[in-house]
Amino acid sequence: MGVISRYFERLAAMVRPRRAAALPVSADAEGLRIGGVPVAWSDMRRLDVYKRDIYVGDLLCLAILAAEDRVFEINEESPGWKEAGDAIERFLPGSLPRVEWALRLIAANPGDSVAIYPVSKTGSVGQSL
Amino acid sequence: MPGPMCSRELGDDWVDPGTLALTRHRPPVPHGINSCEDNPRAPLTQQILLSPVFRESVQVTDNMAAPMAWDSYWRMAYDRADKVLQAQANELLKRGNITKLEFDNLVKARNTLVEEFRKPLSPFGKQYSEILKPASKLPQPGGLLTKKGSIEAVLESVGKSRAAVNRLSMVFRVAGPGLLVLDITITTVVVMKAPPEQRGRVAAREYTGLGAGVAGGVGGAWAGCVALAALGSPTLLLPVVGEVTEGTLCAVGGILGGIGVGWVGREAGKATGEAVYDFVTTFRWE
Repeated sequence: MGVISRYFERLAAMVRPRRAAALPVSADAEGLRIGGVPVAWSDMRRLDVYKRDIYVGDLLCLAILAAEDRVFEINEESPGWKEAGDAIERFLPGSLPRVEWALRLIAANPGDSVAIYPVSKTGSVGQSL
Repeated sequence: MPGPMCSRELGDDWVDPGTLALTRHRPPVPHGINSCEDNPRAPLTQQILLSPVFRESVQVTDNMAAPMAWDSYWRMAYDRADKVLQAQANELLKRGNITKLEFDNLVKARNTLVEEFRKPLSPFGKQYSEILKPASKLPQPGGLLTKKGSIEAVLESVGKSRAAVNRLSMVFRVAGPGLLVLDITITTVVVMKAPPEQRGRVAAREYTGLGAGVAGGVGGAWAGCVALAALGSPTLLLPVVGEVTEGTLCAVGGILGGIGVGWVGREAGKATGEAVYDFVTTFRWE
């Protein structure tokens, strides 16, 4: 019965207009807080952004590899997505500026990824923001 | 083998020139057709032999393929539009000096593009898009991300997913329009082959069946997608078939649901079309 009731719960969740609200992400000087789980800036090992193919359209996503091989994934539908991007640029020295990685990501093909931290500096885009 | 010798056509005109006894025959016709009739049926429909198995196969697959082809064309249109955005972003990157207004406008254009291109999708297309979106993931014990343990695995799965969706979309883009044209042609042949006094009734039955079949395919694809994708949780499916993604299950469920419900829709449509035709043609104001 457990499996059947879980199946119907999942079915009901899928039929709802929006199946799952994206986890909120917030940022401060200490680090990111993803769905209530804190990830300190000093724990961040690697950050990549990529486009997920969603059949018609694409979804911008960010994968974070943190200490102890923890991997987090947030996407542009996560509340606080833009603020998190700004905070990464501000608090994570050596990362690509948000405008640059966002542009590179828009320019990329769906399925491709852009490394935003750490990056080997080969010259970045100047901004007049 | 020559066709029949029609007795009423025997005479001087039907004796071959230069012979004494040879008579001319009508051209061969399929078994069961009387070519000696004064008003023989139209030659085109007389000569078409329609296998019931072929007809059913085309109708069953078209019910499912037509709505999926619709979504596949929207995917292709989005990809073309996205190429324009990619080119604009590349130009800005090359130029190097980007204003806030330019950046904001590009991001806004891209977001509008994604939103607008998803509006005309079939219920299956919208659901499939929704399922391909990951809910934001946290590493949890037993969770997929923790098992994979690296960003490379995540990025690799994104690329694989793209390739699989591309293949699916290509199949429907090629097969869908072909099947639809074939289905309409077969339906028209069936109507034309009907005896003249039955043609209106058969047309009502067959064309209503075609419309209802495709409508059933639209609904069935969505229902099949959600019904199977709900099994996608590892806790529900892992013991039986191993790890299968929700997206794969949605696509397989969509195909099966589109075929099944499409067939039911076509049969119901045929019955409804016939009943409505009978009602309209026999209805009299008292």
